Amino acid sequence: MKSSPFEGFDPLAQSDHWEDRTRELVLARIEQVPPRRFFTEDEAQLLDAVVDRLLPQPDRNADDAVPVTPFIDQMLFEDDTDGFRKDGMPWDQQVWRLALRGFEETSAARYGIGFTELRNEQRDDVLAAVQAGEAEGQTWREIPAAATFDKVMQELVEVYYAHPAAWAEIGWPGPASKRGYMRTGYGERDPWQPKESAPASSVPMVRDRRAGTGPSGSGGGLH
Amino acid sequence: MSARDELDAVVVGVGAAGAVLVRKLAAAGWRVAGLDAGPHWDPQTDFLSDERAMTKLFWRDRRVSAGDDPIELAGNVTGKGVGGSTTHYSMYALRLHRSDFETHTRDGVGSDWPLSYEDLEPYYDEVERELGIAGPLDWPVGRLPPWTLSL
Repeated sequence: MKSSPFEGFDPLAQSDHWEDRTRELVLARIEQVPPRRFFTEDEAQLLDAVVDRLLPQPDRNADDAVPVTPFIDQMLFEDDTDGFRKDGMPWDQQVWRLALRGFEETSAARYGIGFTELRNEQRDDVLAAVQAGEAEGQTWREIPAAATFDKVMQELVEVYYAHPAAWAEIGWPGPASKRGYMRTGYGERDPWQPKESAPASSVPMVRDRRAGTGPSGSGGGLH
Repeated sequence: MSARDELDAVVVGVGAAGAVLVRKLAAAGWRVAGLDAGPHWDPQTDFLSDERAMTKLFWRDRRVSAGDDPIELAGNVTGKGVGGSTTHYSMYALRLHRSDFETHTRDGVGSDWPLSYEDLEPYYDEVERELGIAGPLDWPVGRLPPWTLSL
């Protein structure tokens, strides 16, 4: 992974300026990772392996990585969910269990082993098949694979970007309250908003490609 | 108010519509009660500057979305608590343009409204005053009250 254009930026350095209750909540996401109460140990390990491919964090060691599985576990255990399901889909708790079972079945059908034993490109193959709705396995005849993948992905992303380490990565300094944004004109930023050390906009990338000067055979120099 | 009080009206759900109705009825001298499924939030203690935490404002009771193409029942257009979705509504509230009411006459597209801007204007005035909607003096379309709000 390309290093962040906000290398070295730490949103927590701003936390004195947040409202007390908000600061407590955000710091708790770092300091009080919820215990496993919903998933079995095997399910949690499997979900870790899925998260590792969908939201890879190769530049962080295990201690620094954003914990995603524990917050999904907490959401399901406490039934802190959206509350709705689409006709034909079970309630969220069941969707997550079935999704994990489905990943295992597709893995077994394609490679004869469990998902956690697969190499990265094999894991990606399984996940891509589920996302495309072309995955093998009894589970995917019970619930739609593509819709299930979308739901899983959306909720993983919501958990990931609630964590200050993810804010650091994208250069978001955390809540503006209570001081508020003061410089709100085009291109302006408040002193506590970080500036990219490298271009983070996709505009130069598009310009370069139009001019034929961008890197060839890829999406450009930025992701 | 006790459980045995006789009322003129009970409004079930005091969100954007129900709360206004309660107030209008009460102002007209009715004895009226409003019921809501959720808490009476106190922004000073219950609100956090965190999107994930504030999903608690949404209506998240169990429900099923059905039909040929079931939609996402997004939380952020709902609310469970006194005030309903207005507890987390933070958007522009613009008046329609005069021309919006007669797009067929003016532009040959759509349909004209059976109402004109002038018909709605007193209601715009009233609701903007009620909700504290404000805007700049030089607003180019219609009028927005130039009140200063302490938000």
